[in-house]
Order: sequence, then structure tokens, then C-alpha cells
Amino acid sequence: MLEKLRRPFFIIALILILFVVLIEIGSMMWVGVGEKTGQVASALDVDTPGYGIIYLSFLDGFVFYITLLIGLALLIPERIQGRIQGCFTLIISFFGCLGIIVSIIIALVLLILMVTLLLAPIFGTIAYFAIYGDFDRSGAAITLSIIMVLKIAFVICLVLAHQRFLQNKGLVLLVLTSLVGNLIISFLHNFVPGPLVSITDTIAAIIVAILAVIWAIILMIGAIIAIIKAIH
Amino acid sequence: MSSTKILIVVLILIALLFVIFVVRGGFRDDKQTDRTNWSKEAPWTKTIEDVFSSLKPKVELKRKCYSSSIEEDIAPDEYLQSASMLQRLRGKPFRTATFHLLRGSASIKYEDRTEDAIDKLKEQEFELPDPDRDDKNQCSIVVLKKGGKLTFSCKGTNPCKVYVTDNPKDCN
Repeated sequence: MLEKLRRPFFIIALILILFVVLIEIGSMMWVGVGEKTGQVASALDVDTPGYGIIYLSFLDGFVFYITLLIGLALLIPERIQGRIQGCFTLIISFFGCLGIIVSIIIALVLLILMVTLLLAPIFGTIAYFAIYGDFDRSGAAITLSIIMVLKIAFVICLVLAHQRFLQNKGLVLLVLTSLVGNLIISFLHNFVPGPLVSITDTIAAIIVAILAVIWAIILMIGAIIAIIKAIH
Repeated sequence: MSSTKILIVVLILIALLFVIFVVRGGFRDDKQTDRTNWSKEAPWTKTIEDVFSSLKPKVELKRKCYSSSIEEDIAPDEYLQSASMLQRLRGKPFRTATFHLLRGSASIKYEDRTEDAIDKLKEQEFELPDPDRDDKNQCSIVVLKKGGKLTFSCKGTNPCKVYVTDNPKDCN
């Protein structure tokens, strides 16, 4: 397969998905609550929302990793790659899984805090609106749109690099999960009244993180099978 | 249909749905949302409240029942005052207490000691029953990281009784 691979398209695809992951990780700096409410939140030692997009980087991190593995086959001999791939994947998926579970707990704590504040009128509701009521929905929409465009461009470049990528069911399903994750966040950001977006963003983050945990487990099982095969 | 064509159709569908969601959010007018009467706007909140009630960070009050004028000091969150980062992670920046009026009429005032608190949360004062609210016999206070002082008094000469909703059975 690698002989027929159109390398420029593949490298562009790899760079695009790397950009996606970097934008998602960096989104915490510009997506979230407004500046004024952000200052109040930091003064009160309170976590601010905006986890939805950053948690998407768990899924896209796996997409980047899988694409990178395919790319490494261009540089490293197949025999050596076969041996190290299983071990690396096992380590990455295991620690990834642990990290994502911790992230789910963090998001869950924030969700409980926000919901209990919102449902504790009068003063709990006042606190909720003061700190979480002004989620930057337009900033999040712009970021999600950029990510979506980059992901679609990534898919196109990947197919242009080699059509047989479409036969790699694991990669296709992972990329689809990533695109669906984008849709879930976008839906939960835009189909609720503005003051509730902080809550739905955290729900979206938890859903995306659960999808990422499922993929981490699938990768872990795949890695264990690969290691057992390599030993035998 | 070839796999490439299926991919194109799937990508177009995803992009289309995404655009619909973003446009829907762009045209939503959030300024019209009534922020002062949230509980009236969403009656389903009661169900969610029940689900989350056991998980919410609660204030440790000395009493479960209030029936005479009293002042009570609410301690700061011990974890948030700790120098250890791990201990601080266990801290609760907000703790709530919900008061429910059983009889008479009462006045509850809470003054928070947290310097950076929002003005409206520094001094929280309300009376029960509150005719302006849906649930006129119930109201919550929010205690911030440094705690504060709770003042309870019955209004007028008639006796009153208020319980903290998390422990109604302890109120005799």
C-alpha cells in the first residue's frame, strides 16, 4: 500500500490533524466565559467551563496517533515498527485512558457544582448567572467551525493520499467518531438558551470523553493482541 | 455505491448538520432569557434537583431547625485554606443551604467574609414566605470559600419554624 501512497497529501493530512489537536488544546485560552466573569471565577477559586472543545483533543489525539503510525511506516522498517507499535500503543492507550477518566471526574464535579447552583434560588442562581451565565458561544462556534473545516480537509487529503485508507475500518470509524464529537458539542452549544450553555458544554465534554475512553480501550485491546502475536 | 461516494455523502451530511447547528445558535437571542425567574421558567428543574441533591456541596450548619433568633458562624472551607495543592482540589468554592419554612414567617440574613465575592453574594437577605417566588416557603443561601455569619430571626411576635431541607427528619 505504501508504494502507491501520495506522500505530499499524506503529510498535509498529518499536519492538518496536528493543527486540529493544537487548536483544541489551546481553545481553553479563548473559549469559555467572558473576561469579567472569568476574573470573578478566578478570584473565587472556581473552575470555568469550556471543556467541550479541549476534551475533543482526546479523540483527535488518537486520530493523530494512528495517522502518525501509518506515516512512521514510511521511515521505519516494517519489522521494527511491528515490534514497537504494540508496546507504544499499549502505553499511550493505558495512560490516555487513565487521564481521560480523571478528566471525566473533573468535568462531572463542575457539572454538579453548576447544576446545584442554578437550582438553588435565589442566591445560588445569582452566583450561577454571575460566573457561568455568559458562555462565549460565538467564540466556541468559530473554533468548532475551524476545527470542522480542518477535519474535513484532513479526510479529503487522506483519501487523496491513498483510497485504500477507506478500507481501514478502524481509522474510518475513529475519524467518524471525531466528526460526530464535533457535531455533539456544536448541537449542545447551540440548541439551549445562552445561560445554560456552560452546563451543556460540560455535558458535551463528558460525552466526548466517554467516546475517547471507549477508543482508548479498543486501542489497548488491539495493542495487547499485537504484543501477544509478536511474542509468539 | 463506491466507498468514496459514501464518504462524500457522509461528509456533506456532517457539514450540513454542523452549519444548521451553528446558524441556529447564531440567531438565538439570549438577551430575552429571563434571568431573574429561572425556576418559574423551567418546571423540570425539580426532577434534576432531586437527582443532584445528594451530590451537591452542602454547608455544615450547627442546627437542622431554626425557631428563635440566633446568630451562627459558618466556618471557611478547610480544604481551600490548605497550602497543599491536593487538599485544595478537594475544596468546595460554593456550598449551599436551603431553608424551608414550616410555620410563621422568618427573616434570614447571611454575610459572607470572602473579599472578592460578587456584591449580591456578600450580603444575602430574604424573608420567608416570599410571595414573589414560585416556591414561596423555600430559599437557598450560597456560602463562599471563607464562610460568614448567618442571622436568623422570626418576624413579628408569632413563633416560626424553619428547617434545613437536607435533614427535614431531624427537625422536631
